Amino acid sequence: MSTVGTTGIVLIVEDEPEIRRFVHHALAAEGLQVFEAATLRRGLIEAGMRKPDLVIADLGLPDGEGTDLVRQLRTWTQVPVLVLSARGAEAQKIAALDAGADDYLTKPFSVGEMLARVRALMRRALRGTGQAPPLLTLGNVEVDLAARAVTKHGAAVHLTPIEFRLLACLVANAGRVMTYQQLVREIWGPSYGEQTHYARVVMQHLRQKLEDDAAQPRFLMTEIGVGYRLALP
Amino acid sequence: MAPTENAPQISATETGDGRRPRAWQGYPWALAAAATATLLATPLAGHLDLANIVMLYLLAVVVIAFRFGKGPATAAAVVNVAAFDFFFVPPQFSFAVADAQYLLTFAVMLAIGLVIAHLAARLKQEAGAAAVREQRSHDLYEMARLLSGALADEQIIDAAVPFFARSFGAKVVLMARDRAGNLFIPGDADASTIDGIDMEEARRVFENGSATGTVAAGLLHYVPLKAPMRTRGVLLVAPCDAMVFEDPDQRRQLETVAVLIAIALERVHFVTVAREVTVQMEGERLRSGLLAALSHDLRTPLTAILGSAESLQLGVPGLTCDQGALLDGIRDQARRTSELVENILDMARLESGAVHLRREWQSLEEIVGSAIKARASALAAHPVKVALSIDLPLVECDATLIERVFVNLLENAAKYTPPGSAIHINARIAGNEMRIGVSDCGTGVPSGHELSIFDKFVRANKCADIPGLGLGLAICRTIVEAHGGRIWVENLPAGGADFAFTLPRGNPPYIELEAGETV
Repeated sequence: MSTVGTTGIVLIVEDEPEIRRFVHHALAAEGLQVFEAATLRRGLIEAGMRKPDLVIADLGLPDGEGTDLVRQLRTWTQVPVLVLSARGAEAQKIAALDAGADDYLTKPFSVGEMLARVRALMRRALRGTGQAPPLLTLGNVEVDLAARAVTKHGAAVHLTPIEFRLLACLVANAGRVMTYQQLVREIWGPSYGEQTHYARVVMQHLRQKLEDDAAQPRFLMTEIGVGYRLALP
Repeated sequence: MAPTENAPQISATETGDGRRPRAWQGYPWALAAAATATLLATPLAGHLDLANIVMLYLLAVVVIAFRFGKGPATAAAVVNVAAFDFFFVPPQFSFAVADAQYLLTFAVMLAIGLVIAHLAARLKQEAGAAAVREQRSHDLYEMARLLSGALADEQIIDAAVPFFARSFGAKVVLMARDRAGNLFIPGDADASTIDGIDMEEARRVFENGSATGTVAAGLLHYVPLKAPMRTRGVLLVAPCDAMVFEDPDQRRQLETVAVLIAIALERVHFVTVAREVTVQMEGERLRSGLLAALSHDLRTPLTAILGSAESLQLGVPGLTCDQGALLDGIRDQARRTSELVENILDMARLESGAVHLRREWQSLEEIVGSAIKARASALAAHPVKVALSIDLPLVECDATLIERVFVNLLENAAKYTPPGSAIHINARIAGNEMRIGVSDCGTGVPSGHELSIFDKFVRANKCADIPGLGLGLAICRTIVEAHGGRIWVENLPAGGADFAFTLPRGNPPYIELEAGETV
């Protein structure tokens, strides 16, 4: 049943044993090798020892913030990090993403959803971070980044340069959550950092052009209060 | 009894005389002093020069002046001159003077005697006044000391009553300002210790205190207690002696002690306020700490239950239909409980006061889309038709909270309408508001309940098989009102309910996306 490859190693850093147990079970059923840590310190040690392909970290650890774990990991590795957070802690999620986390799940979460995110992140890791695939199919939309051409149902879609840049940025980070601030900083520049509505306006246009139902998108996904994510089918 | 004890000291400074009851006693003593001096000098008359005998008489004048004051001393001066003349100046035993130079002696002797009398009396008077002043300062100091330790209005009164009795010979009633700005008598004291209190006058003095100062009505004095921040009350002072406040020093003492009392009242007031604020802050800290702990302790087991059940379903091959159904049941119940817990915790957090809005310019379409996705399984049997115009402007709001409003409204629509019926979402600008509507094709809201369904724990349909606590709409209302909007429900003529809410339109920002392209 494994869809990711039998060599995948996942590290779970979570202090609640019950949560560790079912996550371990679900990942093992996918054929992944799973290691566990219950504290931030232990998590860093295990990450150094086991060299995982993915780290799942809880944001509320007994001996520190999950954000600190992400920050420290990022000083020596680009391993994808999926954080587990509580509802309503938007600021915490954004801080973790800014520190270098790739995606987040809100407790209580569905295991199916978790596995989908794990797959997406590990595929990304296999591809090599930062390298976007040249040709991407999203439903009935095809994106050719090299040729800067986008078609829907085979017909060419005209995107403004800004719209294309937003799309390209999301494609390059496919599977990851990009916060509004990160997107605005990348596309408009660092001085626009807090004017997150720019990203929303452009995304609205993009959805109108590419999605069948702009109000209920299938791949240009919103993570409310946090940012956007390109969901690969 | 107290007034009579005080009277001697008061009289000494007021009249400058010797002690009144004994003032007349000074004169016989003056005569006696003259006689004594004469008797003393007589045996020495042969050996002493007349000039030295004059000294004896002057000494007598000093003693009398010091003991009995100005009047007897003046008398003594005169009598001494006469005695000296009669008994010692030749020719003895007559008032005639043989040598005219003795007239000069008499004149100087009299003058010196009068001056000594005057000065000695003055000295005594000043000493007396200084003693009184010292006593007053001491009393005031004691009072200030007691007031500085007062932590309640009753302690202020306990310090004031003996002070007023001792210093002014007066009864005193303290009326303080309460939270509403009215006068009341603190503690279990009452106003019966003083007769003839005019409450109207008291209130008038309290309100205009800074302008009128102390108002005297007959024997009763109404003293406003003016503290730096505001007037803290009124003192009602009833002295036994009506003249006691004619003395400017006493008036000053009264004003000083009034200021002290006012400041003490103000300090006590702020101590109480500070204490209450501390308690309130502690309460809030406890409450949010409790909420945070509760959230964590409720969410963790629910996450584990949901995750473990789902993990079993996905990861264990060869489950029978029944086993699969059981696991489905566990997951459903866990999810339902989780939603209930979220509702309760949200309500508690919103109610505890700090609704912290993270307002940003949001696309309504995006929030709606996110809400629909969040409740995709509940909406499986209810297609959602979103009709938002392309040029609907951005609206300034907290995306997470408004998503919650949509989630709750959609959940309600799904719960209370038959499967297969559609839910419509629309929005338009109306004046300076954005009006958003979520309407369904169900049975509508029972008439008469249009307002009450937004109350906590109120459910329109009390069926046991429709889950829920009745908090969803209450949460919607709290969130919408925190944004400055309104929420209400209308029954549609064609059937079904239209839940509508407004958000302030504000001034959407002018966005220049790229050269030549503006929004």
